Amino acid sequence: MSAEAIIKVENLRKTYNGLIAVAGISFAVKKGEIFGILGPNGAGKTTTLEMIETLRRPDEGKIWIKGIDVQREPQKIKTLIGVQLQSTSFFDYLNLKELLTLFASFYPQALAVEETLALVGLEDKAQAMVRQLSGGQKQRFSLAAALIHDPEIIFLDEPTAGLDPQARRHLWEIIRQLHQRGKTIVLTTHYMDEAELLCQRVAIMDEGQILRLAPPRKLIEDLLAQGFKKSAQQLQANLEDVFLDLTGKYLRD
Amino acid sequence: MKIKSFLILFYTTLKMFIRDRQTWFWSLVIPLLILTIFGLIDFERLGKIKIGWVDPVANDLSQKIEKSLEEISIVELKKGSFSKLKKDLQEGGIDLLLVLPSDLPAQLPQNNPSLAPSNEKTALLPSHRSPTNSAPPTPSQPAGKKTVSLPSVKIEVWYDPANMEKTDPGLMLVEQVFSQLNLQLTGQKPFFTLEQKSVDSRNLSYLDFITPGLVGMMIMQLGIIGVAMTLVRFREQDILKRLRLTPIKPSLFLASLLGTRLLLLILQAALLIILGKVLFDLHLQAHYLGVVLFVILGSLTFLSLGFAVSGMARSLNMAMAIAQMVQMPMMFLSGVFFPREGFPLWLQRVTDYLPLTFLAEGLRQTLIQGVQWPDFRANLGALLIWSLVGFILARQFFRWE
Repeated sequence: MSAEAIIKVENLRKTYNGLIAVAGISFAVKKGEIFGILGPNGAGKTTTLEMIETLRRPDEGKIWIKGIDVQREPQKIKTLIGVQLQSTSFFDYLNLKELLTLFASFYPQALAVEETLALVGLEDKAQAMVRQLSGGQKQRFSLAAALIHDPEIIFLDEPTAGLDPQARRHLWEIIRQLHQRGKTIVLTTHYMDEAELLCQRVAIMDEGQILRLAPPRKLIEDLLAQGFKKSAQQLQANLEDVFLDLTGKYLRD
Repeated sequence: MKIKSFLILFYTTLKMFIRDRQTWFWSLVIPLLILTIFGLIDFERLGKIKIGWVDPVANDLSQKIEKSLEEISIVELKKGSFSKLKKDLQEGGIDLLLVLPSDLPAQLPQNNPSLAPSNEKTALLPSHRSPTNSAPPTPSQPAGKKTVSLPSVKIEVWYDPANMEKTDPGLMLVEQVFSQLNLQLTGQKPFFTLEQKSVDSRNLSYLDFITPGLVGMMIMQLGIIGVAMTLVRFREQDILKRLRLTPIKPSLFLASLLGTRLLLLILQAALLIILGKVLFDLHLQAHYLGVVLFVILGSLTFLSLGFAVSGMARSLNMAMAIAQMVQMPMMFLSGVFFPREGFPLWLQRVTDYLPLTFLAEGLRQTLIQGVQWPDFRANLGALLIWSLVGFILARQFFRWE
């Protein structure tokens, strides 16, 4: 195990009713990096994450987080990691502060609720219910719930899916801040621009296998080196730039 | 740490349920509604024998007969013309029809001193059935020397042969009234008299019968549907998954869910009983510890069945369907609304073992009938076994995803 690998996955395999979801993959995540897992739907991204997060038992293979065997000591792992699921709901009829207080009570140590809300820019919404939040706010709250115990490693499953450009940028900003605080972040996404912008390294998965694993820049250069050319000429701006130029970058929710 | 986590969880879960309007709807509005509906229905009236009364003379004697009929608590007199009341009888509006003859004497013969020497026996007013005329008129019986021969008075009693259940007791009742009148009028003291002694001096009503059953039914419904729906929703919304990511013991969460529900069920049972007492004057004769034990064991039984149902169901709709399939038969077969004595014997034997049967009977014993420990231990023990069965089923079927 390399000294800087905080997560190490070896020959991980998972099958559902004869369908191979994850076909024996191995990789390592370095301490303090933002690691992206990319791939089309059904590629095995979420299954891989859920096995690392202790939610599913692998059929084969091993996972270590900070040298701890995930299958053998899942309880220890749970205090080390913070997880934002793809689309979690929270209990109805509790406001954000109450929800975070509840989640904080599950851990031996936790951050202050107000501090955690401020971390994701929801300090004004402490008394609001989750159902009253916008899509972007919900995602940020879900992130806050993942951060309440100040974990070293954070898993984000499609954190910006369905958000408007302003909200996406705001979430990216929060992820960058977490990175600067030394957190290790593993995220999945369908947005290539997001992966290119945030991730130090990405693994591209399909049909349960990792096709490539490298920094985004390196992957692009490799492709160009093969003589790849875009069919249409690229402009220096795209429609999203136009959209943001017209509507501004400030957050709407 | 563990106890503190549990308390926070318990408190938070309670807060959640209390803020949920559905909780209030199911625990307050529905029981109150059911209780009110049953409180308003006059079930005693349904059991009354309604007698049509045609009185063309309206004299002292006819009034005396009328009064003695009206004194019978289960008789309801309806006055009117013969043609109208006969139609009523055919349509089932009344059960019997008494028609007094237009030549009914106003004065009783023995009221006249000269006609009523001591030890005179005279039979008056024999009853007979008409039109079938099954009982021939009893002739007046001469007795003693100074006999005054009186013509017997015929009173027609009409009935509907299709209405057997009311006709027979009704006819018996009418015959009894008239034979007593006969005795009275002839001044004879009855040899036998019946002294009424009830084991229960209180006049128990249908509401007294039904309320303990309603409490049991409510526990069953909130227990099974309430828990099953909540858990399936938590599962569908990935809330259970999110909880599994935290180091908290999953069983602690389930325990707090069970605990809050149990507390709510106890409060609700108390509320229903208090409402019944305040609004409809339930005749409580309660063994309170017994009531509490039945409520707790019943709640545990049905709550754990709710956990089991949540595991069998793949969706909210399916949970609803399974819960109804379990609840509906019990609602009607456990003696909540009517005694099970009317069932065929085999069905009685089967329904003997339903958990709601034990709960409803146990609550009836401890709430209304004033049964003391240890006389309700059979029901309590059976319910204890059921709560263990429920627990095993819950363990078997409950799942996190």
